[in-house]
Amino acid sequence: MSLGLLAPAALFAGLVLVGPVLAHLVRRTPTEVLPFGAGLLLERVLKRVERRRRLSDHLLLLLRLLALLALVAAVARPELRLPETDASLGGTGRVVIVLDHSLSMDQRDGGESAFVSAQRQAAALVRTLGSDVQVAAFLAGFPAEPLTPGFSTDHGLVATMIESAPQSLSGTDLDGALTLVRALLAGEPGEVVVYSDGSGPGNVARCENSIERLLATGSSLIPRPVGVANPANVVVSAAQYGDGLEGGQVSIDVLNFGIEPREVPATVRLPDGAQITVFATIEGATSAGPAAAQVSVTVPRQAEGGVASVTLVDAGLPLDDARYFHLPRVGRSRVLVVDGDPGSSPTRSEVYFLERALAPFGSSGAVLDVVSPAGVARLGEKKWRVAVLANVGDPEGMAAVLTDFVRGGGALVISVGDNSSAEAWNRALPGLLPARLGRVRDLVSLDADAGISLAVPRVNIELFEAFSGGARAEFARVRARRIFSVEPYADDNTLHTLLQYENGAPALIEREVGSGRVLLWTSTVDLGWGNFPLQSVYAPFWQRLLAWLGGEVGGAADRLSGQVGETVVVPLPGGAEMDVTGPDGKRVGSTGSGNELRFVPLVPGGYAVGRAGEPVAAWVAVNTPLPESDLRADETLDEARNRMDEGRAGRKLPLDAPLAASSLAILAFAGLVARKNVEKA
Amino acid sequence: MAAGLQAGALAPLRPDLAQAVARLHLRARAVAAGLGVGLRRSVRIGQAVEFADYKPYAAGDSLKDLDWRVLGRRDRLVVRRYRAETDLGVLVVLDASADLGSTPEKWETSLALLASVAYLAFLENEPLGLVITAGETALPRHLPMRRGRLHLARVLSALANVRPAGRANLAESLGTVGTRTRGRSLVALVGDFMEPPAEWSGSLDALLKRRADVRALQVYDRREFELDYSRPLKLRFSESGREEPIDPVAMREAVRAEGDRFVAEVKVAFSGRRATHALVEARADLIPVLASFLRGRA
Repeated sequence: MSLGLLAPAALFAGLVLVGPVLAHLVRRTPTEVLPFGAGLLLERVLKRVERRRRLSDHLLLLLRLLALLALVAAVARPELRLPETDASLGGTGRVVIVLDHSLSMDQRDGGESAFVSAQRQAAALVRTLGSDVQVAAFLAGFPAEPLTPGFSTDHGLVATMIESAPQSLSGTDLDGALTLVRALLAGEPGEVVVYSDGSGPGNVARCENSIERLLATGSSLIPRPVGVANPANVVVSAAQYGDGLEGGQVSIDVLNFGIEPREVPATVRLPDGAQITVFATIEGATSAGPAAAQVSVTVPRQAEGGVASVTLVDAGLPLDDARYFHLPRVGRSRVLVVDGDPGSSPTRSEVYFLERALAPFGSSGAVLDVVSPAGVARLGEKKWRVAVLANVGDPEGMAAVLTDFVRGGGALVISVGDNSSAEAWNRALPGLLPARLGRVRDLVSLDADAGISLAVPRVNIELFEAFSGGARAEFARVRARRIFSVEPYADDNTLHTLLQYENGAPALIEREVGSGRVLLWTSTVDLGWGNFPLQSVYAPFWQRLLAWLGGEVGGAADRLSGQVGETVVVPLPGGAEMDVTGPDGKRVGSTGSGNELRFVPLVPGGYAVGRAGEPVAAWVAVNTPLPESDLRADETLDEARNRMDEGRAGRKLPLDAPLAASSLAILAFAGLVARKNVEKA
Repeated sequence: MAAGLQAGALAPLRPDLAQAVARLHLRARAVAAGLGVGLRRSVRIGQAVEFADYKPYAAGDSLKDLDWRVLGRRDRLVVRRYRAETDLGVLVVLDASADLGSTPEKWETSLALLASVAYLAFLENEPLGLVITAGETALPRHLPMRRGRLHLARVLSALANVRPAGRANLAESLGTVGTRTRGRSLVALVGDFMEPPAEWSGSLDALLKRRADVRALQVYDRREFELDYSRPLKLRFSESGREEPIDPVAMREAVRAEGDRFVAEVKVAFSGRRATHALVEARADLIPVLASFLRGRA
């Protein structure tokens, strides 16, 4: 119910209210003064009637003001808009029910959800309509869709369909629903009853155009707000794993949309089933917005990669309590090290230095499986994501295994040395080598103390993001006396120079091959051709390199995000055919077109994309739409409708005539009071 | 100068005051002439045996007192007066409070009433005294009982000289009057008596105990008693100076009823004590009023 004024400018006539007040005051202070000799009589009378006279004077003033107020209000032509009742619906013969079944409609205050309440009310309304009234129903979750095929006079069936409509976990699409309604009405008038909580920023504002067009056809929009009076909801707005050299932390951002401060338990569930619970304490929301808090969870040193979740315990809106995020594999990775030149002493052994760099404390870091060149065949076991070929002489026999390994997503690191033969490498692995090897080049004398320094790596290279400015400068201490020159090449989308020497010679070159990549270190990783193993960045570099290359299980897979109800697009390298597996382990319907795979997730959780029996190619963390968690309505549908609808929607009760009559009645009563006063006096 | 009054009696008076006295005298004489009756009968209470003097016959005098011998010898109508009767003095009392002067009509009527009574006393050769309570005057407020034209002139001068002011304080005024009476006296009280009778009725009792024949003439202005004003105005109470804004239409009936109640209270206060009370409207014809007054009934 609302009150509107058809002639608000007439309210300025309210200034006439000053008149009676002034008249009243002037009347009380006459200017003419006469001497009076019967003061005793007047004093007696005044003493008796003083109290009564004052009261009646005030009453008279009040009555006269009220009369004028009513008159002014009548001139402003007020109009009372009454909400449509169920009994008054059906006048146009066509009633459309719009049922918002978006996620936010799951809000509850201890009892049934707003959606259940809306279902019950809508079904009851349909059953009360006259038998000749045509009824249709639409769902306003994202994307909006018709619930009934069209208009129907089978009210029982429509009511049943409404009652059996599912609660959606997607966003709100009121605008889409109203567009469908307009299409169904086809320009003819109808009565559109919308059951919605109207919450979520901008949901109502987006409908303005549809509402206006709907009203322009003579249709009426009848909002039936449902929901909790003072909604309170706490939600995880974001969760992110912080990368580290050894494990890391999950940062959890929590928002509180209710006004009461809360303390809620947040449970992190890792892909391997481990659970960690922390408590989030968060202030109440203010007019400026929801309150925010952040808590952190330390991830164990070893954890499987995949899609993890954070779940809150919050009864306000249970369906949005879980938020899913990507978690890379944390902890020890297995690295296959092919030792091409065992060496006569530790300083002459690449493996010696690699072991100390990747597993410095024995029980932490990576696990190195050291094999001879003949052991490369074990790569087919798909046990390793990273393989290091250290100073292998001739890779002739291992070309096929290495190619399959890299194309399948593996990472291959090649370091050279005295044992390496450029011709053999160029001949055996032309499809893998980032650049063809040239001759061995002495930068300085091999027995010299110093060599050519590495240039400080560029900041924008992901591999070196983990190193601070000071740590990156440490790379300049790495010097090489001898390197393999490479034949000229140019960086492109698949070929990148990650490190180079101060003289411009490449030090580390990356090439993407299939799903994997190959890195070529143009010098030795022992002390044979340089001082790299003795520098402080040696161990951090190798650990970071291992993590970056996908030392974790999920590392090689794409990490995508999606939203319930919205299409997720997964790029498919080489047009491979893949399947989508949902959080419940069941296959999810998808469509593929060329290099893309599309599917629409209906529930939140981790979706795996890949071929059966092969490593997951992509993980998709699907969440509920965050705006749905904001149960505060910035503008109600009723307000939007009233703002656009000047005298078209709802039942209207003009108040000008009753007010004018009231004014006259009050004036008459005031006259009566005045007359009584005279008589009583 | 009014006929019958000597200029010497009014020598100290200013010309305007002398004119006022003359007007008062003329009006009193006209009223007395209109009455056609004398004061004697009204004031006579009993007869004494000791002859005192003669006085011209006047209507109302008993024929028993006519001296037939003088009539036969000198063809003049005179009546005999006895010693006891000469003790009957006439004391005129004016309440010159500010309330009485709130309208000119009230004030002039009050003066005319007292002047008329004084003149009648003069005609009857009765001792005449004066008491003025409240008011402002340059002449004495109290004049002792005396006879004669010159004394009449003094009384009229005193009346013409006084201006209404102050509070009446009737209780004290009546006490003062009591000290001025000797034996049987006629006390003519003129005022508006705008004080609660309960406050001054005790003093009235004391006065009556001195065998005074108290006759009160309560002068009022009908406009004041009926709030006969057409629009809202402020009324300034003459005695207190207080100003009160009123709506006369709204209060007229209440004030009128209160006036009736008050007059009844005053009447009861006098009549219930064997005194006489008469209500005189400020614009009324004084002759019938004084006729009733002389007959001793209101």
